[in-house]
Amino acid sequence: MTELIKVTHVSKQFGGICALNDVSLTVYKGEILGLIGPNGAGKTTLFNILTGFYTATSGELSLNDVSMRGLLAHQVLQRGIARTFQNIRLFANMSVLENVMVGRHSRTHTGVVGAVLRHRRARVEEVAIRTRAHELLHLVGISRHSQTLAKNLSYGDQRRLEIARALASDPQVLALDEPAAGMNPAERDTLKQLIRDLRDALGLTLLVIEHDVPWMMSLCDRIAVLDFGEKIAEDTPANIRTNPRVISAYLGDGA
Amino acid sequence: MDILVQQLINGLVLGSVYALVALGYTMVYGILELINFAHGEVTMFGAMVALAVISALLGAGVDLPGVVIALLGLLTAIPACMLLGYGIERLAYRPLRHAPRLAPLITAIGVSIVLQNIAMLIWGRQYISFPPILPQGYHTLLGARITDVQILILVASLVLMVALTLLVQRTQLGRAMRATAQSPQLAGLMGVDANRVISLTFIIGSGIAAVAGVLVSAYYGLAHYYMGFLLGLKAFSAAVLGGVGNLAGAMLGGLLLGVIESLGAGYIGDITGGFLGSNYQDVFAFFVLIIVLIVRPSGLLGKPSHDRA
Repeated sequence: MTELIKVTHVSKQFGGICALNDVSLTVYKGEILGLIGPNGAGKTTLFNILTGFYTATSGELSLNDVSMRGLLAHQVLQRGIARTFQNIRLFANMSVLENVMVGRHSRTHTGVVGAVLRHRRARVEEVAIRTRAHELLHLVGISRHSQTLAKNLSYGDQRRLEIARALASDPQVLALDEPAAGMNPAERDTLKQLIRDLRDALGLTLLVIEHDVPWMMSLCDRIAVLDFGEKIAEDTPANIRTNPRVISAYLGDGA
Repeated sequence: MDILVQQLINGLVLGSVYALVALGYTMVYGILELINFAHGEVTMFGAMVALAVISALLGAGVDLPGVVIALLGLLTAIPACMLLGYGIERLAYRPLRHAPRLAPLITAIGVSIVLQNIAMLIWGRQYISFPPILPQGYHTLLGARITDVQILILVASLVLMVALTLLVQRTQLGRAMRATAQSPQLAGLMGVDANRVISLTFIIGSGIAAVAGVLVSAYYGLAHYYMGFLLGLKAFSAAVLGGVGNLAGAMLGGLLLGVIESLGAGYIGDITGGFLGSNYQDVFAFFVLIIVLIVRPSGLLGKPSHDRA
C-alpha cells in the first residue's frame, strides 16, 4: 500500500495545555481510517493540523512525501485534502448548488476580466463547474434540493451538502469530522454506504472522526485511537476491539 | 394629473441615480459591514474628472459630436474613480480590517472630508457647469415632459443595474462576493481571496459611482466639490430604506426615495398651504430615513441582522 499522509511526532500546545503529544500516524492511499477516542482526546485538533487550521507546535506532516508544514487551510485544500466540519459551516443564504460551486473555487481559473466580459473560456468553465456540482449533488443524494437555500435543508442533508462541497475541490483525501452526528440509525447506514461509495467511485482516501464506535468498527479499514492527546493504538477494527489500552481508555482502569 | 406624471418621471430619474450610488454603499456594507461615507465623494470625483476632460476637449476645439465628447469624459471618469475606490480601500480601510468597527467608520468620514478638500484645491469652490453638449430635446408623455437627458439617465442606470445583478448572480466572481459577504473565513477556506474580492467590490462600486456622478451633473447641468455630500447621504438613506447589504433593496430604495422626494417637493406647497416650498425637497430623504430606522430598521428587503450567516 502507498503511504499518502505521514504525520511524524506532531505535538500541539495551547498555552500550557498539551492537546497533542508526539503523535505519529500513517494514512495509506485508498483506505478509510477512523479516528476515535474520548471527548477531548485531540481528534479534532489533529484534523485541524492536517487541514491547515492550526500549525503544529512541533513535528512534521507530509502528503505524497511533500511537506505540508506551515501551509494555510486553503493551500492544504489546493494540495488535495478537503474536510467537513463538526459544527456545520455552510453558506446558509446561498442555494445548495451554489454552495458546491463555491467549493470548486480553488480549482477554477477565470479571473476578474473573464468574469466581467464573460469570454468563451469563462463561459465554458462556468458550465463545467455547474455540471460537476450537479454530479456531486447526485452522488451524495441531494440533487432534488439543488435550488433550496442551504439553511432550509434538514440536518442530515446539510451534512451531505458539506461532503459535496468538499468533494468539489477534487480532493485526494476527504476528512469527515463527525459526519454522522445528529443522524438517526437509518441515516447512519446510508451515510456509511455513501462513504464506501465515495472511496470506490472517486478513489478517495477517507479520514473519519466519529463517536459511534460500533459504526466506526464496521466502516473503517483501520482505526487510530487517541486518548489525552496521545495515540494509544493504530490497528484493524478487530484488533482495536481487544486492545487492553483502548478498553481501559474507554471504560476506565477499573474495568 | 400631468403634474403627478411629471413628478413621477422626475422622481424616477433622480431615483435611478440614487440607486446607482446606493449600490456602492450596499455592496461594501454587504461584505465589510462598513458604511463607506467617502462613496459620495467618489461620485463627485466622477463628475469632476469627466467635466475636466470634457472642457479640455472643448477648449482644444476638438471637432467631435457632443455625445462622443461626453462619452470620452465618462470613460476617463470610470477608471479614475475605480482607481480612487481601490486606493481608498487599500490605504484607509484595509489597515483597519481587524480594528473595532467604529475606527473604519470614523476613517470613512475623514476620507470623505479629505476628498472634498482635494477636489476643492484642484477645481476650486465655484460651481462648474456642464456644457450643453448632450441632446437638449424633449418628448411628451401622458401630458408630461421627458427630456433626452432624462431618458439617457434611465437607460444607463437600468443597463448598469441589470449588468451588476447578472455579475453578482451568475458569475464566479459574484458567487465569491456573496460567499465572502456571508462568511469571509469560510470563503477563504474555499480558496476565495477575501482581499481581492473586497478590492473588486470597491472598484466595481466606484465605477458605478463615476457613471452616477456624470449623469447627475448632466441632469442638473452643474458639478461642485461639495455635491457628493448630500448625494451620498441620500443614497445612503436609499440603501437603508431598501435594506442595507441587499442589492435589489438598494435599487428599489433609490427609486422609491427619488419618487418620494419628487412628489414631496411637488406637493409640499399645496399641503402646507404655501408655508413650505419645494426648497424643502431635501427634507424628505431624511424623513424617510428616520421613519425606516424607527419602524423597520432592517429595510424593505433586508433581513434582521441576526439572520446573517
